[in-house]
Amino acid sequence: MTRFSLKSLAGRKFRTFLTALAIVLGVAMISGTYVLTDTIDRAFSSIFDQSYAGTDVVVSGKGADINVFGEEAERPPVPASLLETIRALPSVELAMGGVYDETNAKLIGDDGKAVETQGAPSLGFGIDTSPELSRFNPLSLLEGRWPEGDGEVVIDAGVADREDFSVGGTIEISTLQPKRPFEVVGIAKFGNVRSLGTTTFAIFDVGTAQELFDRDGEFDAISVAGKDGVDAEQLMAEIRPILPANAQVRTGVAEAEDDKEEISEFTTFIRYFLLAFAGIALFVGSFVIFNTLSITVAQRTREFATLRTLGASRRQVLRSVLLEAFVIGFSASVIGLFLGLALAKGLEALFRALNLELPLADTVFATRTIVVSLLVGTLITVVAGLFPAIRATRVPPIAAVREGAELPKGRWHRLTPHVAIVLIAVALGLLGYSMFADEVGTAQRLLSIAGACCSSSSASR
Amino acid sequence: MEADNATVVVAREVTRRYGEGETAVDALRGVSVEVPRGKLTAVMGPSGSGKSTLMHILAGLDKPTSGSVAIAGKEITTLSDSDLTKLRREHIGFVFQFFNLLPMLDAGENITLPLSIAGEKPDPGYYDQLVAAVGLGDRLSHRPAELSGGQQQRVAIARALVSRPDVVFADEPTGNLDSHTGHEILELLRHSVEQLGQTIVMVTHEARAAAIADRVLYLADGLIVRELAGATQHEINEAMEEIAQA
Ligand SMILES: Nc1ncnc2c1ncn2[C@@H]1O[C@H](COP(=O)(O)OP(=O)(O)OP(=O)(O)O)[C@@H](O)[C@H]1O
Ligand SMILES: [Mg+2]
Repeated sequence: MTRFSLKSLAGRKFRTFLTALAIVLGVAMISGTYVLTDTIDRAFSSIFDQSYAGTDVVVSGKGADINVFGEEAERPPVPASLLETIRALPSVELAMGGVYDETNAKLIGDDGKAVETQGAPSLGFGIDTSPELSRFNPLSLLEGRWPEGDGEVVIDAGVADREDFSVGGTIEISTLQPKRPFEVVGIAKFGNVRSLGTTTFAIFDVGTAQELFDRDGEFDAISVAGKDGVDAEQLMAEIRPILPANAQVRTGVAEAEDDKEEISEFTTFIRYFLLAFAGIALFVGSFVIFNTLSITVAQRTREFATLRTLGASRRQVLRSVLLEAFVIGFSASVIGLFLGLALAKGLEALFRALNLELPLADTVFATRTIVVSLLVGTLITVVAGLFPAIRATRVPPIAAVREGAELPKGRWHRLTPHVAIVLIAVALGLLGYSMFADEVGTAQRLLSIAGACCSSSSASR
Repeated sequence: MEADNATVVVAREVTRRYGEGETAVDALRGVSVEVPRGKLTAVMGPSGSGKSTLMHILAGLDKPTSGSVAIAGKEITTLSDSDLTKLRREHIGFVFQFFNLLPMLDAGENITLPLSIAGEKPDPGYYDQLVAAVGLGDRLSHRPAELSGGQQQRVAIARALVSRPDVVFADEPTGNLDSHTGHEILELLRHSVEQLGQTIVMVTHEARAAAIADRVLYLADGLIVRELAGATQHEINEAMEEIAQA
C-alpha cells in the first residue's frame, strides 16, 4: 500500500511539483526569516559582547522604575564629578565618562536634508579616545583619526559610503543645537561590522558632545574596569555607596544582555512580520494542496473503489492519501528549508551589494529553524490532505464497476499545467514584489498578496 | 445458514429494488441460487434482466432489499464495512469488464496487490504457477498501459486468484475484448477451475462464453427462469432464444 501511494505520486510528478510549490515557498520564507534574523541577532550579540569586553561595570542614571510596554524609562545622566570619585576608588584601574545619544545627531546630506535612517537610530557619541582608555571604546577607526575638540567628527563607514563623505570633508550635523558644520577627521566602524544597516553615528570628543546634547557637566554612563583580581561584584560593592540616589551600577555583562534584548525585540518584530508573509504563503499553499488532492481523489474514484474490492480497508485508503500528502509536504518542506537558507544568503549578498551591509555573523542555521520549517510545512500539508483523504474513504467498493465513476477530463485538461505555471509565476512575482519593494504602499501590498493568493489557488484547477 | 463445503455461495429469496415509488425498478424479484465449489457458474439473460445486480449482491458489493446471502457459511447482508473488507480480503476475488488495474503499478505489482493489502507475502510456488498459467512471464514489469487488453485481463485474473479466494466473480470478463482474445481469457478461466480448483461466477452475454460453464443460469426480468448443466453452445443459444420469445 505504501508503494501504491508513492507510485501514484510518482505518476503525477509534474502536478505534484506544482502543487508543492506554494508549500516550498512558504517554508522557504519561514526558514529564510529565521536564518536571517538569527544571524542578525547573533551579529549584534557579538558586537555587544565586544563593546563591553573591556568594561567590568557601568555606572549610569537610574530611570524611573516604570515599564511601559516593556520599554524602560530613559536613564537620566550622572554628574561628571562622579568620574573622579570613581577613579579614586582603590579597586578601580580605569574609568571613562561618555555621552551616548541615540536619536539627536542628524547628519545632513548634500541635498541639505537629514540622511534617512528609516527608523534606525542616529547615534551621537562623546567618547574619550585617549589611547589608555581604548578598552572602553566600542568603535574601531578605519581611516583618519579620532576627533579632538570642537568642530571635528568621526562618522560611520556605512553612511560615508552611501553619502560619499570622506576624511577631510565637511559635514553638517544638527543636534540639540542648531545645525553646524564639522570636519570629518575619521571614519570608524562598530565592532567588526562596516555598518549597522541604516543606523548612522557621529563621534565627537566628550566636551563637544556634552555641549551638543545638553549634557554640560554630565555623562550618560561611566565605564569602569577593575584592577587585576577584582571581580565585578567587588567593584560594584565598592562603587555603590558613593553613588547619588538616582544612579546605579551594573555589570558590563548585564548591560550587554540588556542591549541584546533590545535588539532582539527589534529582530523579533521583523521576524514576526516576515513570518506573517510565510503564513500567508502557507495558507495559500494549503488551499492549493487541498484543491489538488480533492481533484485527484475525485479522478481516482475508480482506483480507490478497486482497492476496496481487493480488500483494502477505509483506514488503508485514508492512510494512502495522507501518506501522499505527507510525502508532498515533507519533500516540499525540505526543499523549502534549504531554499530559505539560500534566500537568506542571497538577501545578505543583496544588502551588501546595496551597501546596506547588515551586521551579519556566520550564518546561523538553528535546530529550531529546521524543526519548525519541516514540522509546519509537513503538518499543514497533511492537514490540508485530511478532507480529501476522508472523501476517498467514502468511495464505495461498487464504484469500481459503475460507469462514470471516473470524472471526465475537461477539455482544458491538457492546458492546465501550463496555465498553472503561469499563474504560479505571477503569484510568485506578486509575493516577491510585495515583500521587497520599498515604495509599495500598504494598500498595494495587500492587493498584490491577494492577487498572489487568487492566482495560485486557481492554478491547481 | 446451511452451507456444506460443496457450496460456496447461498442466496435465498433475494430482491433488489432501485429507487422508490412510481419510478422504482425491481431488478431482482426473489432469486435463490447456490454456487457449487470448484465449478464455473455462468449467468445469462437479456440486457437489464438483473445479472449485474445479482452478482453485486452475491459478492457483497451491494445489499439486497430483502433476502439473504451467505459466503463460506457466513451471512453477509448484515456485515459491517470492516467485516465486509475482511470478507473480500479472504474469500472473494473480482474480475472486471474494464480490467480495473492500477495504472502506476506494473503487472507483477498489480497481481500481488491483494496480498500487499492484506500484509501477506505470495506463496512462491503458487505465484509461479499462476504467472505461468496466465502466460505473462516476460511482461511482469510492464505497466498496464503497455499491455494489450487481453494481457491486462490476464493480469486481472491472476490478481483475482492470487489470494486463493473461495469464489471469483467476473462480470462480462470478455465484454471488452475481441473474440479471439476473449476466447483465450475463457480458456484461462476454465483452466483455473480445472487445474487450480477455483470457483467462478461469470456474467456473460455470449453463448460461446457460457459454453465453458458447468452450469448456466438464465435470468429474465429479475427471476431465474432456467438452469442448464454442461450445455453446449448450441443448447445455450436455443435456451436464450426461447427465453427471449417468452
Ligand atoms: N444503480 C441503479 N439505479 C437504478 N436502477 C438500476 C441501477 N442499476 C441497475 N438498475 C436497473 O436494474 C435493472 C437490472 O440492471 P442490471 O445492471 O443488473 O442488468 P444486467 O442484466 O446486468 O444488464 P446488462 O446485460 O445490460 O449489463 C435494469 O433495469 C437497470 O436499469
Ligand atoms: Mg450488467
